[in-house]
Amino acid sequence: MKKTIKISLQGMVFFIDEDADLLLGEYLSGISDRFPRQEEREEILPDIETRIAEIFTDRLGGKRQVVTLEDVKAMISLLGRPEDIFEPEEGEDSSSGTASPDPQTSRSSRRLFRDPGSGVLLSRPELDIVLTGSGKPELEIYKRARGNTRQAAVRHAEDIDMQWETRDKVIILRPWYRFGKRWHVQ
Amino acid sequence: MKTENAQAQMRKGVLEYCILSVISRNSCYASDILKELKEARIIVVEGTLYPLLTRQKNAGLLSYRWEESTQGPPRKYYELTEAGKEYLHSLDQAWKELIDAVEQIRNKKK
Repeated sequence: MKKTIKISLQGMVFFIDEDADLLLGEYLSGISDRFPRQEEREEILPDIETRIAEIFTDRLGGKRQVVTLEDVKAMISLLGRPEDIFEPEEGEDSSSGTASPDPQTSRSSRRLFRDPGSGVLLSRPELDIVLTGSGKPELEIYKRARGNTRQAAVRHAEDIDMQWETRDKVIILRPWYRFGKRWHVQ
Repeated sequence: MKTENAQAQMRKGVLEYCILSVISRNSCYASDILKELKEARIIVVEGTLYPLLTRQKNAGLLSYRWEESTQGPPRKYYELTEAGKEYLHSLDQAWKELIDAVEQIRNKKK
């Protein structure tokens, strides 16, 4: 028996095995991280998710109900790894800095902190999520804009799809945001 | 030097031209374009298409409209703008000149 998770890709609902979901999440994060500019990410990522949904639908063929690890691997071989998809634009040189990624969204700006109390503090470029509490945590979501940080929301664990285990194990957040991005916290 | 590298560079160079050529015949959505590009074996991984479409759209060569689909989410149907048609025309010319130039060099008798 395997655990499955319900996900949505551009409005299409799929049941997916846990291991497959993890790989899919890593893949989408890998693609998301490759966009030098946020507006490109907001425009292209939904198109890629739509194609992923089509590929899954084709592979399930109305006969199966659950997306497996094999389906995700097959999808990746069709769409390509993030490093195969994105090539520098003409005139761009990663060493020249002429069109370097926005520092607000670049990979190097991502930092992960561990909260010694009970959880993990994840620092993202535009949002901070703080997990608090030792049982079922609350999520405090902070928005950072123009150098200021303000609390945007507090969510109980039940409000979003998340998996919470002990601090020595993997914690997975699955908030499906507007652009389908989700954050895997480890 | 590996042949695969040279092939990849050639393919990359003409991929944008091929995308515009496909769209010039009919407005189409990404999967239609992918089907043609894959049949012609000009594209290796599907994901390459999406950044290129966006780049061409942002350059004013393409526009798109949304159409509902019974099989999934709404689809973006791309078509060439007037600027895109002119650009494609100039690429057609450049392509002919390139082929002529290569043929001339390759067929030159010793």
